[in-house]
Amino acid sequence: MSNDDLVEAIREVDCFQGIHEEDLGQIAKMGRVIEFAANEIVFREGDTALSSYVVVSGTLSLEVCAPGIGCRRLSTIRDGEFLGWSPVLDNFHMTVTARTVTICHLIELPKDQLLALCERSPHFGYVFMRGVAQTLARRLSAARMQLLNLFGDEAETNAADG
Amino acid sequence: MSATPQSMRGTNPWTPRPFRIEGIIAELTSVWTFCLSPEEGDSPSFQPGQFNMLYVPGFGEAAISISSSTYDIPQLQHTFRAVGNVTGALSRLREGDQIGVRGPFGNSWPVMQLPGKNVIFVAGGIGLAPLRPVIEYTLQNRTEYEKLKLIYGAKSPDVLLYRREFSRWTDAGLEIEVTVDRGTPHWQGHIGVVTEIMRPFPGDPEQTQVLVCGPEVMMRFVAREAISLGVPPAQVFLSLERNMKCAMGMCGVCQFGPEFICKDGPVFPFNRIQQYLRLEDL
Ligand SMILES: Cc1cc2nc3c(=O)[nH]c(=O)nc-3n(C[C@H](O)[C@H](O)[C@H](O)COP(=O)(O)OP(=O)(O)OC[C@H]3O[C@@H](n4cnc5c(N)ncnc54)[C@H](O)[C@@H]3O)c2cc1C
Ligand code: FES
Repeated sequence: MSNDDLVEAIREVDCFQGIHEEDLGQIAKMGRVIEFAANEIVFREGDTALSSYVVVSGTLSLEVCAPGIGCRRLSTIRDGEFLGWSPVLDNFHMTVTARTVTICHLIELPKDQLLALCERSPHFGYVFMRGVAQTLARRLSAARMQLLNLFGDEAETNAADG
Repeated sequence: MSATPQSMRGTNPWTPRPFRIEGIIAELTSVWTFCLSPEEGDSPSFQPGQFNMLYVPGFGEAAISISSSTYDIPQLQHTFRAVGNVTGALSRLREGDQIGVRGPFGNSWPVMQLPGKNVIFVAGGIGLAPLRPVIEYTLQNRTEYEKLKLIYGAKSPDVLLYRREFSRWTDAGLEIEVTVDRGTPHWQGHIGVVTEIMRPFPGDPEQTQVLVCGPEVMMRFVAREAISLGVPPAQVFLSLERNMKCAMGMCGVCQFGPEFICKDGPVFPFNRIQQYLRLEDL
């Protein structure tokens, strides 16, 4: 992937909307493109939070696992989305497992360099953190909707047996 | 939108007409589609979005949307989930049995407002059934519309309704995006709620009509998301459900604010019902 392609991919991401060209160049410089095959783990719940990612192509699922229950896939992350907020919000560990569903190209952004750029360029820091907050707010709202169990327990509606 | 129950001409709207169950399609656990034909005369014509009252002697009547195409009048279809008294009784009937049918009742999806626009259908669970006639209608007249897209959410991949139709619909020019609340190990599609796959919004929101049917709470979230993405509230249509008795605006059972769902609905533009949807219990 050329540097221009990298910049274009980063430009598409919600969290980076409105940042200055100069900062965009800095992000592209720190980014490393990684290809994952389908069904590969990008990071696991509990891993040390070292990097965030931008999804250039492909889809991933986020899973949580619990003893006795197994792993549950909670949501899908698609191209153009930001993945991994824990590192930039000073969480020490990743809170979910990210697994690729299809072949994926991700841009890996090391946490230390991202946060250093936030310090150096307050405009970038503000726009980026606001974008992260908006992404989180949307995921929270989606999780609440899932909790409402909108479709009821469809398997239980079997008055047919009566 | 038509508010005239079309079959009413020349027949008594209070009296169910006998229809024979010609075929039964087992769609999902506890969900069936009945293919019906009248014992005498022709099936009534109807508009996409209208419903019939299905009558099972000894059990009573339930409002069930017409789920077949307006271009295939002789093949009247109803898809229902067995949830209670009448639908439970319906589910125990067999091919060749008879039921009573009154209708069609209610208004239709805003078919006259759709030409020249993008049309997004958002369905949740078996809410796809009332949308199927308008999907078929737009696909029959495909050139009249810009983008046609179905955003469909269900609990899990095994409860997706009319999956057998998806490839035909796609070939006919409908983009389909499906999301489920709970994925299975083999599910490659999206996991999450329908509002998530409304972004990025397909096309100019001002030139888009959004037709929504599903659990009421889902419809509220979808309407809110569509409006926040720039779709004017008057271009977001919801199909509402309430208990029904007469289905003709006489008994008041289905009253919703100043509206009667059986007569003024079931399809409403969001701006007309927004203030009543805020209330918990009407
Ligand atoms: C315009 C319109 C279109 C519709 N289209 C469709 C359609 O296409 N397909 C479809 O499946 N449905 C449709 N419905 C919904 C359907 O009419 C209702 O679900 C209807 O109530 C079913 O009748 P029933 O006698 O089987 O259920 P009811 O016996 O009336 O039960 C309805 C609900 O109440 C609950 N219930 C029943 N008895 C009790 C009790 N004693 N205590 C607590 N809860 C109870 C049931 O679990 C169920 O959730 C539509 C409704 C409207 C208004
Ligand atoms: S059902 Fe009687 S007024 Fe609507």
